[in-house]
Amino acid sequence: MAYDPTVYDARRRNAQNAYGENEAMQLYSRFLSQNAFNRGKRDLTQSYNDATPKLFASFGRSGRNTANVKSGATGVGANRLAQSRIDALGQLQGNYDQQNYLADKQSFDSLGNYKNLLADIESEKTRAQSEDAAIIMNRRAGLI
Amino acid sequence: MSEDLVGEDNFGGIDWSQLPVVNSGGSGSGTASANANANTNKKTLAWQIWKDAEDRKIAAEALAKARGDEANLKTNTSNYYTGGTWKDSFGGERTAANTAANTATGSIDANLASQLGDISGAYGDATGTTTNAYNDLINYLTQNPNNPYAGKSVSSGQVGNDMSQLMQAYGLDTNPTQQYVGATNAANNSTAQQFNNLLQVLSGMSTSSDASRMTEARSGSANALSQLASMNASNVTGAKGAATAAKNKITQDLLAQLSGIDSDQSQEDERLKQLLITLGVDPNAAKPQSFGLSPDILADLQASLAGLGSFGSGFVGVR
Repeated sequence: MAYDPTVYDARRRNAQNAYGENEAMQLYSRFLSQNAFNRGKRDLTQSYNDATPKLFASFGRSGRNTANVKSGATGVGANRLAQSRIDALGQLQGNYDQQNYLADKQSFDSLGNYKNLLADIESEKTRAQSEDAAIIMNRRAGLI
Repeated sequence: MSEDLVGEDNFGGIDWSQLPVVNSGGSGSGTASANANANTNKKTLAWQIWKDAEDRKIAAEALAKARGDEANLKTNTSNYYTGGTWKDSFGGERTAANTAANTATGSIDANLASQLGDISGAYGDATGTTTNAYNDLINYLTQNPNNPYAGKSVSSGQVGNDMSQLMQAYGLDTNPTQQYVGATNAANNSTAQQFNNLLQVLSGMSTSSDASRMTEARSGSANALSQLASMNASNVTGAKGAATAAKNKITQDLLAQLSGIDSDQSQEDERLKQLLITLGVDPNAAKPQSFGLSPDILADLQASLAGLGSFGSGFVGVR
């Protein structure tokens, strides 16, 4: 195909638009993930904050707030509650992190694809110029 | 035979009464018979006179033709021995053929030189265009490395023991929970590390791919230039080959033309020789200084005329 710069300009614009659209989608995905994470964390925190005073209040009412109790059932219960809370927050954080990782990877991939496409276009343009140069050379030599 | 066969109308212009009568020797046996014989003799004589005139006419024509041939012989022998116009014309043909061939060959050489100049110019331009195109590509790739994963890493969000202060306030042991926090964060960190490992692998692949693309660009440039050089060599060889073929064709045509001229000259040479031989001239002898009629031809002609002499020279005046 004869060298035509307008073709490559159009392809560059198309690639840029596709990359922009993908980035916008990733940004929106991150926004949704962030919202979901914040909402989940808030709900979890609220839930555990509601449960924690009741647990400690029950300790006080039953008169079990003693050294033995602290080292025994009460301590175990408090630690279990704390671990449950940590576990829930940890999973929430982990899910959120992985969503971010995937969004990051898609952004990286998209950028890589975009730059590869631009390099492909440059390569094709170079090849077209080279082929045209050969054709023109042979035409000028009177062989075509 | 009837007398009418020699009737006077057949010998126009002869006055029969003026002709001498040849005496047959007969007499007295009858006047009528004698007269008849006399008439017959007259007509016979008249016919002989007419025949004599015809033969003289034929002999004169033959003599005229012989003299014409002599003149022709004179011209042709002169040309034959000196070269003459007829040979010069063949020499002229040869010169013209050689001149035309030289002109054509010179034109081919000039065209070839012009074409080689065009080919060289076109090759230079194509090489420049291709070199610039690939240099642009290599510069672009150099200035735009493609490794979106390079230097990228992630880290996981950390969770803590939000109940730590409360538990401490109640004097509770927070160590088991702290250990759990550590395990939870370690699990999330492990996931992040796995992702970082993936990013490193992808980064390495991108670097390798980028390097390959650069290598391909450089080899593509070398290949393109090599192809141009090959095409150029082919173009030069083709142009020279075409010119050589054309010149060979001209040479062949010239040789054929000269051969034809030689053949024509040889044929003309042979024709002239045969003509000379026919006219009694030895074509291999030196150029004759005079061009009298051949004695044989003259003898034949004279014999023809002498053969008519049985009727006496007095009849010559009839002509």
